Amino acid sequence: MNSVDKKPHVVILGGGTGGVIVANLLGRKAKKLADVTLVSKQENVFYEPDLIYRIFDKKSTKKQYRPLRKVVNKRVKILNEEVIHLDPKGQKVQFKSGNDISYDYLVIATGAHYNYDNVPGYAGEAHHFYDEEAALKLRDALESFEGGNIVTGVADLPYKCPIAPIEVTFMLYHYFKRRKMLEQVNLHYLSPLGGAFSIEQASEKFEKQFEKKGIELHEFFNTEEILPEKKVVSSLEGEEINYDLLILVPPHEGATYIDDRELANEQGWVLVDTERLQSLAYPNIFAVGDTTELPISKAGSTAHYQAKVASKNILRLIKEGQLNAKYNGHAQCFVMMGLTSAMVLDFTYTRPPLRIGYIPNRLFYYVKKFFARFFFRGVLSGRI
Amino acid sequence: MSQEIKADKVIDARGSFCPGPLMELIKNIKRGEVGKIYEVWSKDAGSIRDIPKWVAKAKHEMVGIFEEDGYTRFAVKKMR
Ligand SMILES: Cc1cc2nc3c(=O)[nH]c(=O)nc-3n(C[C@H](O)[C@H](O)[C@H](O)COP(=O)(O)OP(=O)(O)OC[C@H]3O[C@@H](n4cnc5c(N)ncnc54)[C@H](O)[C@@H]3O)c2cc1C
Repeated sequence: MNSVDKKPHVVILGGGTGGVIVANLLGRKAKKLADVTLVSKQENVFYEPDLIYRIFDKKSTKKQYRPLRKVVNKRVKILNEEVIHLDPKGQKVQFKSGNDISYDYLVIATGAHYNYDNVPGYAGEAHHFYDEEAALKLRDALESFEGGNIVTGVADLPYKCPIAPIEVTFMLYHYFKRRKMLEQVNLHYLSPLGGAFSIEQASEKFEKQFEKKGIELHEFFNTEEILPEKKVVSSLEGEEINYDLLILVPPHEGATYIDDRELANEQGWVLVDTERLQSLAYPNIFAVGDTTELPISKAGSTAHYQAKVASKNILRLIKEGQLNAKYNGHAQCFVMMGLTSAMVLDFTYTRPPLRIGYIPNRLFYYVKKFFARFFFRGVLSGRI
Repeated sequence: MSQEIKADKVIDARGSFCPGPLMELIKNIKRGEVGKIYEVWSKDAGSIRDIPKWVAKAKHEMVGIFEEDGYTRFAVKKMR
């Protein structure tokens, strides 16, 4: 093939929610226009939201996995590699194996990873439920818990699925109620904000539930450090709380393999236009999902909606040299309010959450509980 | 209050219902440098109550609050 008819190469980094949707959309729609490669360090896609159920049941996590090859369009080449460096000027990605790959267009979708060392005392002391290993360890710790202070909250900002620690706190109440242990357990929730949550109406609902359930809410508590020998967690605001069991969402980082500060900040959060999702420094680079520095929830739903916009923009760029799709900040989060009821928060950059979603009910619970199947078959295809 | 304050970093959190302007501010101040001014832009009515309250509690300095057309700018100096 000579250089004139050489197809552009689109490389997608990260085979999670956002990356797989982009791969499927481009695999189908770019057809003969581009070669598409998906790079991911894992051979499977993992469905994280169900981890909140795994803490409380005895089920295995097997159903939360699907092999990438089964959910990604056949026209897309999959490389099982771990990215260790990105050179945006040279348009090259370096892998841990020593191999590398060049691209014409790049989509960064490597999500967030956890760095326990960012909060002193966290490693080896705090529990969490943000990955499989930690969730199963927490399940055991809860099973053998005999009573005392359980403190839940977040270790650092930002973090994905901002609602998850609140949901789990509610679920802890119901879990200990079922075990008839409420007398022996004191639940505390550490909120980084002046209230339970950032969205006022939702926050009021949560605060009422905290009160009703006897869960103590500690406002403006931004974790500074953990002192395991004293079993104390302290805040930037100067408070200290004693715990017997500490459950804190772990400190997150983004694409730390990027050292170009015009492309991503020190924590690896990729700097993109809030609507076009295009890098502010490199027009041939886009980013979607948790790895972006957008003022919006890091969530599966936002990664999904962003993936559709980024794919459209890359297609238009390849075809016409311009782009016009815009992400409107759409987010949709189903929130467990107990063990069998849920509400939904649905909002955009300009539209506050829909009122209807504030009424907790069983239907929303079933949607959330059985979403995994729909996720693998529907959402990841990019058709929805 | 003077509109002349020169922010070292502007955080545009207009349209951020979740995580919201205060979380965006805390995230930046936490990793910021003492003495630097962080300015967060918010359209959220709750910010006028929450941001100054957090700033006082965390012992930083509220340098200024400026009403603009449809949004508010909060300038905060990191003190420690
Ligand atoms: C407990 C929990 C509950 C949640 N509940 C909800 C919910 O109810 N609703 C909701 O919308 N969201 C929820 N989320 C959030 C949601 O799971 C994530 O926001 C979503 O998966 C983000 O998609 P992503 O594509 O940005 O990243 P990911 O899905 O994390 O994908 C990133 C991919 O990149 C790969 N990768 C990372 N680094 C590298 C590298 N260096 N080289 C190669 N590959 C790499 C990873 O292996 C992974 O495959 C929850 C998350 C958790 C932890």
